Amino acid sequence: MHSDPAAQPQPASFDGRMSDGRTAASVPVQVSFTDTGLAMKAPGTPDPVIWSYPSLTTAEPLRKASSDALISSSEMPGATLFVESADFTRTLSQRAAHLSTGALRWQYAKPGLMVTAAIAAIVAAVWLFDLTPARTIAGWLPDPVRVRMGQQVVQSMTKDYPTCHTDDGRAALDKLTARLSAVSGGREKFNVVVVDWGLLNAFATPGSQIVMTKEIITDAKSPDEVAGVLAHEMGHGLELHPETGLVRAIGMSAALELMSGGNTGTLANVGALLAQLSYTRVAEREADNHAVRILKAATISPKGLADFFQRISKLEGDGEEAKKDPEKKDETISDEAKKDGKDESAASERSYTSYFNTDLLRTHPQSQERAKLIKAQAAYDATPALSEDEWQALRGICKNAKKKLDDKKKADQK
Amino acid sequence: MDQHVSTATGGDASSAHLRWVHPTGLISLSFTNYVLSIVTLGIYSFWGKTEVRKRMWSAIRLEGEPLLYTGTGKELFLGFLFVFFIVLLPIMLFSFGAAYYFGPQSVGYTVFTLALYVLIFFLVGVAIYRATRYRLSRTRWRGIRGSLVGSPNRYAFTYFWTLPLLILTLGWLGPWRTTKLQNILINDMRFGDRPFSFTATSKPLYSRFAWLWIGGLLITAVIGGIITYLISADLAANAEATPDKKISIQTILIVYGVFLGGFMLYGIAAAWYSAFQFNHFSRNTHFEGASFRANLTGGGLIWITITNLLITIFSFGILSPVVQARTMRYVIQRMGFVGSPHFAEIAQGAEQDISRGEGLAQAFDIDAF
Repeated sequence: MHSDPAAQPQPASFDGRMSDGRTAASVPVQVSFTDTGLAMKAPGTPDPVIWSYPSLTTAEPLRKASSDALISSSEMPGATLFVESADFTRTLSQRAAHLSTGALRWQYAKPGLMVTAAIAAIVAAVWLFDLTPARTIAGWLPDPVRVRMGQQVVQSMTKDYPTCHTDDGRAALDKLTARLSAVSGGREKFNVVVVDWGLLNAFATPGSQIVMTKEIITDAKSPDEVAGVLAHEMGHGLELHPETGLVRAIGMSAALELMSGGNTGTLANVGALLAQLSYTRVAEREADNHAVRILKAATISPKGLADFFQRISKLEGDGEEAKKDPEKKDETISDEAKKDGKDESAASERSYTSYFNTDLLRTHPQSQERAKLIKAQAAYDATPALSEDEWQALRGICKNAKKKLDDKKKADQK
Repeated sequence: MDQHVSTATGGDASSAHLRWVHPTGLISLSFTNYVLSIVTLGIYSFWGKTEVRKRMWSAIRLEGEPLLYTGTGKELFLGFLFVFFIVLLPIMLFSFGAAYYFGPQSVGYTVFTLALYVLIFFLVGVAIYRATRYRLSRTRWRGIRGSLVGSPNRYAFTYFWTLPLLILTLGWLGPWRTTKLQNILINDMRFGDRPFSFTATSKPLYSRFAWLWIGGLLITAVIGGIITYLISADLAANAEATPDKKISIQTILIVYGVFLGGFMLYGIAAAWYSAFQFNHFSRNTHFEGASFRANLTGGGLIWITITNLLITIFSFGILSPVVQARTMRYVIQRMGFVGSPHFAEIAQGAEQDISRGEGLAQAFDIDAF
């Protein structure tokens, strides 16, 4: 470092090494700060090379602790200048403020912040304009793919539980399904599977498949209730709710993967997402509307569905007790209804999500309200969903189920 | 600041001189990057990673002048987006579709999964090569670029077909395979218009590898023996007292301890082998009449690995720039040259058009720096 004989606060020039970017040679230069820019003079050359301050870039942003700087200039592409001096870097950061850490950090962070803003805008647009991208994509899935998906879901869900089949029970169920399916307006026929799970549950899966537990049938007071539940699940199927749920789940995990830089591995567990699908209040209402319409077209009374909702609203209130004592349950309808009403006003909109493969009970914090809406339909001439003989046959559809599962397990072991 | 002069590893005073100047402010950079990554939903991480690399590269001083990293966050980001939409997303959609079409336990899905693994193993090779190529093309010293001039497919193919053989030979192909892959990589490497050359054979590696392999076998056998003995003894002792034959907590803890001990013992042996391999490869890497030298030690590698692991765990991974710098410092301080290339004769190489970053490598998590 040359110190100025005139004893100025800063030395006039600094030792540096410069490369022209054409060969890997470097020459010693004297570097000084001038009004027009950084001046570099190699020994034996008459005039210094000058790089204007705005044209400069450094390998790293300049910090207070910087003790050296590797500089290049857009005015001489490829060339580099290296100066090892803390005094030099301090002066340089004053002369060319754009090289400081803060300025560069903002420059680097800007694209990220812009993308974040764009994502926020898309989310806001989806929410504000009520766009349903997952529903749209679900609509694009070809029918065979949807049916195939549904069969896989049904297969995996019924794997460990006995499926129910008796010839006359199946015939009765098929008759009821066909009666509803014919007037549902769906593209394909619905297919219903009954399983012995030991809990009250029914759900639609992709491709117009419906899975219903034994309890839906055995707990029902009439075939009209079963018809109502089937019509409701058909409603979900018609609106492609199961397909939409799957598409949304895949999309969400893909987005998560994208945000985390591809390191979460959530995509690998996409199968587990099936267990987390949920329907919104809107979706439930859509399914209810379809149910009412289908029941009417099939000339089956909607009272069965209303009864069903009323029954499960009581189970919600005090599930265990109500199950043990069905008589007491009937007596306490009005009290339960009041309680339900209160609960509902307190419940937030967002708490109302239902899990399509968990218990139906959880899905109906406002079953009373739904029962009322259904009952409010104008009366029409209705015929029973099934004859008494057919109803008894359907109720017995699971009588061989346990034995069949045992046989199946034995066959698997062999 | 570290002024370590690597005379122990280099040649005489006329040899090219390599030095590490430890970067300052890495802890605050780590936290800044972490916070900015969170508020930008991870997008800043590409820019953060780039800034860390700039610091690492410029800490390496050859003949007193720093390396320059010229990559940008934007390139890494675009590279990631490209791989995400062209590779990862299709793979994910296809495997999801296959699971539903064939059924999760069907023969069709198994065949699909196997085919997918084959593709992924090939892509890992492509990813390693492309990532190396990207980093070299973004590395400059005195304004001169590095490059990798070969085809990723050749490397990926070798990587791929030797993999089943590695398993079939119970690992004995390992030293040969590693040497072969390093050979392809180094011989494709350029600085400016001049090539690197690699002359290592795998033969010197095999005596050490035999010790490592036999040691690994012995450790496994001893662990297996001890654990079998402990559990059966425990069961026998408890059989009368508790009819349901439970293993006691003490035994479970001892079993874990034995596993940990065996794992660490194997780690020491593996470090001892890795250090030897690194030194061997360095000695056989040449550039313009000069050769690299390295004297990594097993103990040094173990120390750096364990301390880095602790830093990573206790900082929840936030201090990964510190960890990277410590690893690089250890390696650079123990590397040097014998001989000195005539740098003034080395010209800039032909321009290469690599516009995107190393997304594939990141996607498969084989990204060290």
